[in-house]
Amino acid sequence: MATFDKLGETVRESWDTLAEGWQDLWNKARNAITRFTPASESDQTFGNRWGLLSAELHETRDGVTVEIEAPGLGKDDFTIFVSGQTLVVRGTRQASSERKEGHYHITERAYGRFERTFPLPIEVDEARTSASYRRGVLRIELPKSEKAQPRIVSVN
Amino acid sequence: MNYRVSPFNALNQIKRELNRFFDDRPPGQYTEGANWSPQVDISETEQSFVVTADMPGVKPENMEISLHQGVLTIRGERNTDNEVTESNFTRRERIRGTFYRQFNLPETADEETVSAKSNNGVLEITIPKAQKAKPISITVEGED
Repeated sequence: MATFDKLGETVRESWDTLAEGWQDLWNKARNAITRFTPASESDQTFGNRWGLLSAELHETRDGVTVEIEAPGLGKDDFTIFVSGQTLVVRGTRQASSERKEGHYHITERAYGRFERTFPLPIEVDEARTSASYRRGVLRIELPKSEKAQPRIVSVN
Repeated sequence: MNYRVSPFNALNQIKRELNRFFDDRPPGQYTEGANWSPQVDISETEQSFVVTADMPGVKPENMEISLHQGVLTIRGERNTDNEVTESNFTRRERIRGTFYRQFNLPETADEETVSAKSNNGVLEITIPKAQKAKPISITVEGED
């Protein structure tokens, strides 16, 4: 029976590792998993429908910086706007601009239109928002709005 | 019983694979226990194979591509911007550290003339096929 005990133990251990690992991955990635909808005829039958758009949001003294990993786009492929206290980022990764002729063995990368929204921790000044795109990472700088700045009250 | 198909062996392998995938290991010390691996497309034409990999935020000088005995290895590191301290983050999904991915290429690959370029966070590796692997049309000579 020792063999069965050992087998049972191994199964349990493997299962625990799997469950723990999945939880860990889920916690890290669930928000980054983004749906890509086909943007053109050629996207319909090509590439993954779900992609990872890993993002980071951090607050600085002057505002909020958001970085999103979105490789293979051009700077004109993004639409960025602020609505209330929410940042909306839309984009399109065109399969047609990258797709090579020939037979595909592996297609893991996602193509098409995507959208991600980010709740912002503070009120920002939409008019002074700026963005840059470098090495496949979109960086958006959102300065604090006047209202969110600490106001100094002088004592008379 | 054949050792290779023993249930312990299979389960232990699953366990090893999972540990390898999920462990937070110090970067640079392990080759296969990398922090992440890039997503790729691989296409084949008459002339070449093209591997396209998503590598957002990786500097070209931190990408290492090697081809040895029919195995293509992509490895390297994505660095942290040290200006930001941990406590300031309200959302943190990007994975830093080492990446690693390996592919077996068919015999037809020409290892001598591989080229790579990186643009907008996308790495493209072109591996031409060896001359002998390209289809050659042979004209039949004979009497009319």
